[in-house]
Amino acid sequence: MDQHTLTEIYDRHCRELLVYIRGFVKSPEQAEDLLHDVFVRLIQYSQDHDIDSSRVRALLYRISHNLCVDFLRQNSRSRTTSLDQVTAPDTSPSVESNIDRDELFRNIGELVSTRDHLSRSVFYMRTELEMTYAEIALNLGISERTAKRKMRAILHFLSGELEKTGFSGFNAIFLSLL
Amino acid sequence: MKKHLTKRQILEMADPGLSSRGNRSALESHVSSCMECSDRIDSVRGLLSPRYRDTVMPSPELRERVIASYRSSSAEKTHSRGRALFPWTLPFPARPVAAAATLALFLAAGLFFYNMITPAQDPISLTMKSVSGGVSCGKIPMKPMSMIPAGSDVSVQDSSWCEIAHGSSVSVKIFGKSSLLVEHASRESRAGSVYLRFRLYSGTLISSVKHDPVPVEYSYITPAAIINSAGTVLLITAHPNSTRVLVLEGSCKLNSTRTGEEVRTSAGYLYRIEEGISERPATSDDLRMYRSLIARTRVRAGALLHKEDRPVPGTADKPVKTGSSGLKNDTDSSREALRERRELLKSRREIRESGKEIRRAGQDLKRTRH
Repeated sequence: MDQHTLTEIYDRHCRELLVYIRGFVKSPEQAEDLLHDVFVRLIQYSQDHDIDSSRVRALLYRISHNLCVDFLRQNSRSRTTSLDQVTAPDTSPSVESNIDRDELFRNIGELVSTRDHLSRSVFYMRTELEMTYAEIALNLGISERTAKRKMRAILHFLSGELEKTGFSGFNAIFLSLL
Repeated sequence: MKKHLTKRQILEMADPGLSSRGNRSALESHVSSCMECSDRIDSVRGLLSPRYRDTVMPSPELRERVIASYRSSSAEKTHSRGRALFPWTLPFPARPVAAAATLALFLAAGLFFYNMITPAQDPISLTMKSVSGGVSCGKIPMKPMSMIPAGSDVSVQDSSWCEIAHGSSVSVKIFGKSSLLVEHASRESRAGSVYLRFRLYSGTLISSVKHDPVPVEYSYITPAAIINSAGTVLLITAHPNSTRVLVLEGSCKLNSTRTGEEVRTSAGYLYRIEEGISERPATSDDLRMYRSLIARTRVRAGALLHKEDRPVPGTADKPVKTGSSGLKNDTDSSREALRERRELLKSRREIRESGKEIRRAGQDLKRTRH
């Protein structure tokens, strides 16, 4: 792979990859570092193998997924997120109307981070990158059925947990934001 | 549709990609009239809205970092080509050649070490310790103290027996109408271990092997079974279609030659190998058979020695005892045999006595506990 091909691949996929990685890591700097590592891995891989341009996207997502999982494993030793840490919002009528979008997103992020890595990947690929389930299956090397099953499970979990922790009317916020 | 939507239907309505069936129009008509279901679908849709998509943008420095990494990696690759040590670090065309060379190197080293580690085995000969009746090796009648090298075929006629031995550790008593081939007999030059392999075509034998003074590994191959053992007393009876193995001491490994079934034996059990391997505890009849065979060797030896007033040395038809070159030697041997028998009976008596004492001590202990 020459430099021109690399820059072309980078320009085409860097943003979507960063969005995907950002779903796993909290800080934007860490996400950029991981994205850099993804491309370093791609360069190393290209030294021994021919890069098929039709499959490079799936390859990049596979590398990104593995690096994110490694990163989370390393960090989970020092810090873990439990469901108890998800803060329930103040539901008094005066404050309820002021719950901002970031607060809700933060809670969703915390809840998603308690799920397995594959479910998280499926969730972020579907929500952030609006991939079809066929694309998700191809990028993660799983079946389309598994991707759908993971998505159903995580949506079911999120809606249940958010209702449990006090976000019974969280749909109203979205309706107002949409 | 009056009933509310199920959780699965709500998820499918919120995310059309999840729906697998084509009844969406019926669900939509319900949702349009049901506020509760509509709210629930909207709340799930809220979960699907993107969080970072519109805000995240990689910095321009990142692009420069990636390009710099590419350049440094290309430069490193150019330098490292000359010092590749392992096949997988080489570029593809050179890899099979390097892998083949490495494999050849490993094989050569393996062969060298194998030759170093594997000890040489010297062929040995067994000794015909006792002969009674018609025993021949090929067509040559056997005499006591004859050497039996590997490859010898020993035939024992009806109502005859003989004993093949190696030092004091191996004793194989072969009885009437038996045919045995000494297939392999060797000694490891370094540790002195003895390796023996016999092929019992038909007949009965009693094998008694001790590890003293050198370790012995041996196997018997019959038409129906392979018997591997080390340090065991066995009574083997081989027929063309079946083999019986009575294990009197120690244990051995039995393999059925037809089914490949494998069994680890225990002392005091009789194994019958036909299509498969069956086992049962040895009965008094089995033990009686063993005792009668053993007694036959002893009694015949003793009785024959008394008859040896006119010994005909060198004739296999007449029973001859070890070292029987004359009457005096035979009488000595007979006395020795009687002495051995007396010692055996004495030791049995002692064992019985000690058993009684142990039982008595156990009963006393029980009483004191109560």
